[in-house]
Amino acid sequence: MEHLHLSQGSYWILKRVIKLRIKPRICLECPECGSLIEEAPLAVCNECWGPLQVKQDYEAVKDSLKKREIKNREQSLWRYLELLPIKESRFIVNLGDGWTPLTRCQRLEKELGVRELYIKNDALNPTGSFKDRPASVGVSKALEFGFNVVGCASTGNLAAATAAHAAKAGVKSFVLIPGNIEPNKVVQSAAYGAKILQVEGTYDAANRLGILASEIFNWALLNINLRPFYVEGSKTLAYEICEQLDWNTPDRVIIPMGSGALLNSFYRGLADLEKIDFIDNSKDVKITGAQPKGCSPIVDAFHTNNRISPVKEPKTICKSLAIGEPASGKQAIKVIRETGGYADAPSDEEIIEAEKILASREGIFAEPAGAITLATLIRLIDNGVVEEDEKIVLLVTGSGFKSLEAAQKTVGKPVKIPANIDALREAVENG
Amino acid sequence: MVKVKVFYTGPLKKLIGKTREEVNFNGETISELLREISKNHGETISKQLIDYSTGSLNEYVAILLNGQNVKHLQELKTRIRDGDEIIFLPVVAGGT
Ligand SMILES: Cc1ncc(COP(=O)(O)O)c(C=O)c1O
Ligand SMILES: [Zn+2]
Repeated sequence: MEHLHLSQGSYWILKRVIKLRIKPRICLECPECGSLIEEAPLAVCNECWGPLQVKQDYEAVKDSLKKREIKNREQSLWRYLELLPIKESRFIVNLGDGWTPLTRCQRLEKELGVRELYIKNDALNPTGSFKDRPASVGVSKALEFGFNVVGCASTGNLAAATAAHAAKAGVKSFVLIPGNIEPNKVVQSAAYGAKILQVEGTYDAANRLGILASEIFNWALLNINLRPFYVEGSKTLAYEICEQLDWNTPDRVIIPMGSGALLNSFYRGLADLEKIDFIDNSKDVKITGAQPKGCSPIVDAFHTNNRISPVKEPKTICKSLAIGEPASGKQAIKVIRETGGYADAPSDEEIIEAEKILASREGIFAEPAGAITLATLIRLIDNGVVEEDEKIVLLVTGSGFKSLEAAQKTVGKPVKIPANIDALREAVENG
Repeated sequence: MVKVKVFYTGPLKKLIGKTREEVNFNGETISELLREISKNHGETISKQLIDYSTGSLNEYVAILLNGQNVKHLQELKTRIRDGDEIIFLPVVAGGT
């Protein structure tokens, strides 16, 4: 038998290649009781039922990853591969997710009287919401674990994002949605080829059925058994915003909350950047959460200092945020307190008004769950929580096309005219 | 004596080693049912399910009684009747 001989040089190259392609161990850790286990498609701590979280070794990343290297990488969230819980890049399912614009909003700055205001426009993701981030990471991880069926329980946006990434990966998808979500979200998910299971009742009912499904079928349900991995995708919102601000942090970020998962991931993203020495003040960003008044269990618990009390029948135009029993609510409150942030709950009327302002002043067409962050900012300026010299980022997490019925409430009817110049002139001159 | 159908998921399925069983017991509340299940399958179960600092249900556990979350009823004091179906679920799974 011939022996394999490597020169010093090729040995070094091989080592580099291995280091780049195969990441160190990924573990799951319980923040409640401290249990640590090997990675697995599992979301719940077997000791205390707490939420398992991915734990990665960032010391190795700190030594190898440099800002200038990232700068020239592909324009998607996968530019941060080392910080995401995927071990082998061949499993990545990427529709061009993430790397959305961070737009300075000069008109709104003047109108509202704030020093620096930006919108992170995640409505511009491939399926029209920020959910492409966790879905891209979640479906990739499902493939890495060897699943060939994926799914989720969803208020609509995750359904579309999961279905689209499953289509790209060539695997089957099942999505569980509640009865009353916007028709556009259902059509969109179906177009990607998902099997849509519309559950009678609220999102919480669909979600519980999903948990039972994960016990029975061998499915990768992104926000159920793959939840620890899936939520890691949303950390890239924090990475991108800091990179787009030349590796500086804003003073405040306003984030919509349904389950509270996005808000937690955002904060974990900032913490990662500090661990690898890209920023040094992750705790100075005031993380501010927004829920609609008709479903605000996290905001209420923040203000009353009580345990979260689930909302039985959410009533809000923000269908994406109608989650009565928020799985990550407790941690969200902890983050908001630790960073000196705030939580508020605008009414549906305020949210619709904000949707109109966003579109008519900044050219950004958002669904109500995205416009809620502007509605919240307006409230916080009015009641003096936000100071004039703050640098603020609003997350706009979903597109207006997702819920046209909401936008219809804010606009007038088109002016109908016959096809001649006199009629045109009359219509224009009459304002 | 009441007889109820119980469905276990997550950590409870692991501890008990099955997903469903029928439980016969003397009692009339969720709290008494938990005591019975612990008696049959080990004390770890009540340690996991009850938060002893507050005396209430572990906030990461949801118990459904005939599809209704007992948090919307009287939590551990919720009454159980013969033939009821009880499901134990984690709260942290799911959520968009
Ligand atoms: C547009 C939009 N924004 C925000 C959220 C809130 O996400 P989370 O449940 O992670 O708090 C959702 C959830 O579905 C959403 O669809
Ligand atoms: Zn634990």
